[in-house]
Amino acid sequence: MTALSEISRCFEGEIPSLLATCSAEGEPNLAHLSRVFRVDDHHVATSNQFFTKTVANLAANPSAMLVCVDPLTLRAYKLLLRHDHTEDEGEVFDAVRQSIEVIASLTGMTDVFALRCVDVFRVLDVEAIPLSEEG
Amino acid sequence: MTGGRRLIDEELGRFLHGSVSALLGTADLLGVPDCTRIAGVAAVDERQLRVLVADHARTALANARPGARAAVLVTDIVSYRSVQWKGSIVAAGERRTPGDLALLHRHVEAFRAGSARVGIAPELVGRLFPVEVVPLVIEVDAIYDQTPGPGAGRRLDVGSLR
Repeated sequence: MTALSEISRCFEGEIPSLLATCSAEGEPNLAHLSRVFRVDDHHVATSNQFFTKTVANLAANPSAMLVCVDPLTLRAYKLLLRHDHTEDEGEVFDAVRQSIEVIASLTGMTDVFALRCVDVFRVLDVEAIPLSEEG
Repeated sequence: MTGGRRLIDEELGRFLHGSVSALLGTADLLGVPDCTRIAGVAAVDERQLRVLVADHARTALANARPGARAAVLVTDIVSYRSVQWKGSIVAAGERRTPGDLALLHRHVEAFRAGSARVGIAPELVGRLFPVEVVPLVIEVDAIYDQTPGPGAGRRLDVGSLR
């Protein structure tokens, strides 16, 4: 499995990531993520601001698929995830909040982008999506 | 076309042909979701979308069995206006047609036209899209505003997202 440290550029927030979740009834849902945070070699975190459907799906079904893109090469990676826990305080939450507040202040949307909590996922697999010339 | 309310109008049809990024969400029988890039999307009628995925997108193609639920998220790469349709797969496993190749070419060139405005080198855009594609047809039954922000996830009526 590709190590998360090898794809660190994907977590700089330059290109939005996508999170796919699935309801208990088998209906997929896609949501944009402005930024994904690498917690350690086996975990990533996402900021929970608006994702009502995503939250509902994860409560019923912890499986998720994250697609993130290296902004330099445009190579995309699929990360198979399992929702581990939610945090509304602590080291990870504070780091994510600081990042969100910087973005919000730069865009004048501090109230709109208020962070509710952070979802932490365990990374089960990382798959590189072939680029066209390799396809 | 089957009965029911209209979920794709002319304006949304034009939106699909702009500088958009499109993704297909599917899930397997165990509820594990997948997300794969769409290489072309067009309205077949007011309730059906034809989408093209890479022939090497094995997971998405395996998930796309007739009757399976699917999500199609389309985002203008410049404005971030985003729309998500939910629906069911009604056709899968067909061979691509000459029209599909024309759709693929149009999608890639429209993406390329907007890419420089968002910092993506136009000469790299071709790397994102496959040469060989497989068509899927999805009958949609719901549409949502997915533009990033507090309104994301709001269910829409066609015509309310202008």
